[in-house]
This record gives sequence, structure tokens and C-alpha cells, in this order.
Amino acid sequence: MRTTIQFGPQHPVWIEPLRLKLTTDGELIKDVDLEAGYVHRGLEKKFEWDYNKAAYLSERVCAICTQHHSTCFCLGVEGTMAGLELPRRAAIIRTIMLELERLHSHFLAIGLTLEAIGFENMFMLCFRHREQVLDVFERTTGNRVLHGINIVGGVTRNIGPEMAKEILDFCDDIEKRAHEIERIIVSSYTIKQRMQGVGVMTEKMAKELGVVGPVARGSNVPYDVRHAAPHLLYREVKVTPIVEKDGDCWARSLVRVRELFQSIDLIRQLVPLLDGTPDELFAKSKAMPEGENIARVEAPRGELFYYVRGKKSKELDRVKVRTSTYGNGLGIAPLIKGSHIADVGLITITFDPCIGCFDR
Amino acid sequence: MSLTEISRKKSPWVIHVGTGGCNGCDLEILACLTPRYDVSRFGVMSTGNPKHADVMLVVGPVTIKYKEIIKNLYDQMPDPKVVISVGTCASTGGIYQGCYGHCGGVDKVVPVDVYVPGCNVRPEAVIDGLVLALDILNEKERKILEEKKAKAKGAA
Ligand code: SF4
Repeated sequence: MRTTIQFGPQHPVWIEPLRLKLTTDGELIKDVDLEAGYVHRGLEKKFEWDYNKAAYLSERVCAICTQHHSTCFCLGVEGTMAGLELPRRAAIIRTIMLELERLHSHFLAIGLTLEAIGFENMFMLCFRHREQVLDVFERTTGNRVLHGINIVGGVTRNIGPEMAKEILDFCDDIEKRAHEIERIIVSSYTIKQRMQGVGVMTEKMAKELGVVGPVARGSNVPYDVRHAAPHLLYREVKVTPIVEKDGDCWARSLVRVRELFQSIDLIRQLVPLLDGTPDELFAKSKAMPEGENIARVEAPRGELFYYVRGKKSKELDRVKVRTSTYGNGLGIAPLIKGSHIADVGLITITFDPCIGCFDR
Repeated sequence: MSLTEISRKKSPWVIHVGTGGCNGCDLEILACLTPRYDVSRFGVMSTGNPKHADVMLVVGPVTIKYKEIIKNLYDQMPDPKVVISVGTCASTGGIYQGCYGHCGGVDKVVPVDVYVPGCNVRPEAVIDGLVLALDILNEKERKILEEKKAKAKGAA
């Protein structure tokens, strides 16, 4: 007998609204219908605004990757302004922030994944480590979650030598903590049993659906924008994409765990570059945005894409945002089809869905 | 203070509802529930079931699609109940003012008792709001009891 179950929109597994209509036959899911749009505020329309204010608006598309959103937006707008060169120090600071943000986002994602399979203590542990990253944010930008340091043409806050040292100390500390998490996850028989073989996305499927980020890399697709189309400082510090072969929930989570160490390593390489770079944070543009431009960055959840078109005035003509969850969303339904009801929460959460990004 | 009042004050159950916000405030609510700020030491417990909840924490401007659902959730909560709007955008629409996809703050849809401003709010502010809400909760409880008593007297 077939039954239809409504999963969401208000469901404890996700902190945001999303609705799945599951058609089930006993415990097995036969059909699934994904209904989104609960967070649709109409942001792209609102972007037709003063471009200086829009940088703050872009942060509020999604607060988990705020720095990625505003950096991508600023890169997009800066490309439309003739003769504007981003100061090197601003580029370094932006890149350090991007990597710090990846750390906090991955801790969040790992924690939520573990909570979905019942390890609430591990969730708490991840969040305790995440607070450490937020402390660094608070010390450098003055804010815990939304940073507000990106403006078109540069950044508003500097990282001085003392803060640089503090960040390096933080790297040592967080590395120890990340190792602890890794040890617990990798050596745990229970976690492995629960996640291995669940929600398998094959390499072929990943390529056909065009998924991005850790979801793609978990399925053996080595696609990372930092590697494929280097932006900012990634032209100098090289990034090799981290891939796992299996494509199940375990592989996706493992990619995130391994990326923690990659980010720490990148921050360690980036901070010394601040030394001796002139204290110039902001370049004023003489031209207004004109023509069109695209920018891509690698957000914690995958490729983030901004299209910007200016009309030679302060207001922008059009901004199009294609977020990483928008790319990944397509993969959710095929994976859920054929799985057990108990796995639905786990499978969706390993996609690290960000509905604020999804609906905009 | 009656026994229910004491127990309610010692252990309020909250339901967290995210509608159209940017996750900034959702994250800070999560931060409240986790070790650094740890509101569970005051007995606050997060539940996903509106029928068990005393306090509703709403984040974000209510999007048009979510309007009915939030009303529904509110109606399912047992009396007395308190609604806290967390964040500027839940209180007034904040930075999203003028967007076509939402219908303003939460108070346009359900009655709000406590407003916590900030974009994004700090966890301390959320805790402050919760403490305020508990007093309001007890006041509401007392009112309900009085009404019941008055009714009983009238009947007798
Ligand atoms: S108040 Fe600000 S930080 Fe909080 S959800 Fe709204 S836009 Fe995001």
C-alpha cells in the first residue's frame, strides 16, 4: 500500500524550511517530490540597488557563507569597473577570511550530520570547536557571524602583525581539535556502519546532474573552483581538490573532514604573505559599473556564481546568483528514491543544504 | 507561585522556526543551545514539535509561502504561549524591506511578545529575550487561571 508522507517544511533535521513529499511503500521510498521556495524573499530584484549597499545585502543571502557571497559579489562588480585594481593586502585578507569561513561551515556541517544519526554529543563537540573559529572572526572583524568587511574595491579592516600571530596560534589549536574529531569519526565503527553505502551517488550521476562542492568531490569528481579557475590569492597558493571514491554519505562527510586540514594549511600559508605587504586596503574606483561580468568562488558547499550587469550608474542593472545548493539540490531526489525513511534526514543533511541560498 | 508556574519557569521548551532569514540568527540560536552559551543549564529544551512547546523563536521575515504554516504552528501550540521574534528582519523586515517575496515582520502574522533586535543578534541577546519571555509566560498562565476561577464562580 502506498502512503504519502510530508517531510517538513518545519522539521528538526533542517534548521530551515524545505518540504519533501515522500511516497512510500512500507519503509521504502518509491517516489519523492521536492518543494522549495519557502525562503524566497526576492533578493535578486533587491540587488538593483546602490552597489555599495548591495555588498551588505549579498552577505545576507546566507549567513553560513557570508564572506563567500560578498567576496563573489565584490569580485563581480569590480570586474565591471574599468581600471580598478584590488590592493594585494585586501586580496590576502579576503582569502584568509574565506578559508576561516570554510572551517566554521564544515564544523557545522559535520556536527549536523552526526546529530542526524543520533550522536548529539558529537554535535556539541563540533559546535564547541566552531566557537573557536567565531572567536577569531570576532577579533578580526568585530562580528561573529556576518562580518561586513567586504566593500567594492577592498576591505574595511586590516589584520595587523599581532592578529596575524594570533591566527597562527589559532591554527595550531584548531588543528589539534580537528584531529580529535577525525580520530573519533574515522575510528568509530557505529558511525561508519550507519553512513557507508547509504545514499550512493555514482561518478556518472554526479557528472550528469552537475553537482558541485563536497558532494561532487565525494563522488570522485575533482572539481574545485579554487583549482579550476583560481581567484584572489589561490593563484599563488595552490589547491589540490580532495576527492573520495565511494560517493556515499560517508565519503561526503570524509571530504569535509579532510578539507578542514586543507583550510588550516592554506591559512598557514596565507598569513605570512601579509608581512611586508603595503597597508593599503581600499582602492577607489573612478569608473561606474558598466557592462557585464561574472565571478565564481568556491564556497564551502561548492561553486558560487554571480553575474553582474551595470548601467553606468550607482544602481546595478541586474544581478544573478547561482548558489551551490542550487546546483546540488537536483541530486537530493534521486538519492532518496529507493532508500529507507530513516535515511532521508541523513542523506539530505550530507548535502549540507542551505535553503537560504537555494531559494534566495 | 503554583507548581506549574515553577516547573514551566524552570524548564521551558522552545520551538525554533526559521522562515525567510539568512541563517545568521539561526546559527546564533544553535550557538545558544551548545556548550559555549548552553541554555540547557537553565532547563531550556529545544523541541521540533509545536504541541510540546511553550516558546516559539521565529527567525526571518515571514515569506508569503510560509505565512500559513507559521499560523498553523502557532495554533498548534498549547496555551499559554509566547512568541519571540529574533533578529531585526523578524521584527521589522530589516534589510529585506521592499523585497516582494515576504510580508514584513512576524507581528504581521502572529502576535509577538518579545522583540530581540540585532542583525545578526548575539547569543546573549537571545538569552535575555528568553528570560523576558518566561515572565510573560507566567503572567499569561496566571491570567488563564483567574479566568477559570471566575468562570467556576459564575457557574456556582
Ligand atoms: S536579522 Fe540579519 S542576521 Fe538575522 S536572519 Fe535577519 S538578516 Fe540574517
